[in-house]
Amino acid sequence: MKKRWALVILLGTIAVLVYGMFGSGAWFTSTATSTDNKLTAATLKLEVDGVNSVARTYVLDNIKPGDWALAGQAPLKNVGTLPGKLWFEIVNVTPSDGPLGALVYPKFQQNVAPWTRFGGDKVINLSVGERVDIMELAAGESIPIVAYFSWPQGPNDNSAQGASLTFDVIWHLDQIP
Amino acid sequence: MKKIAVPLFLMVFSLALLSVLPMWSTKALFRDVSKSKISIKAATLSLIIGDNWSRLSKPWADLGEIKPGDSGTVEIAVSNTGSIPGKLCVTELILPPEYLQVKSNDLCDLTIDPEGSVQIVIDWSLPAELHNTGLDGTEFGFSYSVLFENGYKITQKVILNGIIADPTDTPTPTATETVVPTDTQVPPETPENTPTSTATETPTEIIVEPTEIPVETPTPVEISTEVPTEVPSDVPTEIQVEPTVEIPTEPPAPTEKPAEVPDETPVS
Repeated sequence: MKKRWALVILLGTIAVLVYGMFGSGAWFTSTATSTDNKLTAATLKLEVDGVNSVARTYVLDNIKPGDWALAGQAPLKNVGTLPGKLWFEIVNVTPSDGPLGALVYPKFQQNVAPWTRFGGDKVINLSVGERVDIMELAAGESIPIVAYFSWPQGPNDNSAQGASLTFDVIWHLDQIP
Repeated sequence: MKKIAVPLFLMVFSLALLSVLPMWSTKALFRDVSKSKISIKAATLSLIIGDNWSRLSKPWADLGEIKPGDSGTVEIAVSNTGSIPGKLCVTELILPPEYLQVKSNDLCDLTIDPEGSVQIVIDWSLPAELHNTGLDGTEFGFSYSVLFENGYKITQKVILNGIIADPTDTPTPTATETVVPTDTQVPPETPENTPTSTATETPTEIIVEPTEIPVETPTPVEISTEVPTEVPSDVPTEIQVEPTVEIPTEPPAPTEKPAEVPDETPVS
């Protein structure tokens, strides 16, 4: 019986203490103001040929069977403050199943040593949406990428005479986790 | 006590888990994209033979009726209407019949620029000697293969045909006459004018030339009255020999017995 009362008293004391702490909010407080604080978020921004979003259009005319033709160079630069992982994908091939896209291989190459080549193992029509990793790009770092198109000679070359196609290359720069 | 503590712990842990999970699932990392547009266009290599494509399924040139001794030239323009230069090579695909002599210009490894063209020149002739070989009414045809390439490969055919005319319909210079001069003796000083088997010369020219040749040379009798050194240089040598043998260099002196000698004997 004594134990029961002792327990009730203990619980009651605890309840009062808890109420006192959380219920009344009666904490000692003190405030100090620090002014002119500035919080700047890091940035990750990719420029292609000095332009963010849509860079210029590269035009390659008169490609023919047996060619290894240069379309142009695109300097890619991470103008942000964070390092990022650079990769690209080909999208919006028009026409999607044209004869030229079935014969021509898109090849991108680092235009400085060690001249690494990226992609190009599939023809344009079959490269759509495929992720091709390039490299990690540090803040402020840039890399010149040249776009080549190779057209190995084959028996169906004449079917693509005069054909044309357009497509987009989406360059991605992702923050490294 | 235990009954309360365990559910309370589970509840607090679940709340904590629920608050952390969204942080991981959103992967709220920075990312940026940029886009390049690429346009590519294939070149064209286009070959036109003549003025259009319509002849490709038909004979390009119909020589019509030709007769022995005829000859002519067919010129065929090959044009590049594509956007890049191409290399041309023309080869005989089907040989012409052996009785028809054909020669064309050599057209291989020849570059034709866009909007440029070259001429295939085909010289043909039907030798006059073939009149007697029974070819009258014979149809003939031959063709050339035209390969044009620069990455692309384009092949086309050029077909020529004709028929050897029936001689009854074409009574022009008889071919039999044209054969004769080739067998006649030709003066050595005019070998370049002798009618040979070159079919480019017309039969009429061949016939005229033999008449100028002194086939009917002066008889030995007429020559005997003159000194042999005066014989024309173009007289065949064998003709010159005969009078020198038969004609005495000096006439015999008159004898004292003219009655025994006939009057005609000194001359013969």
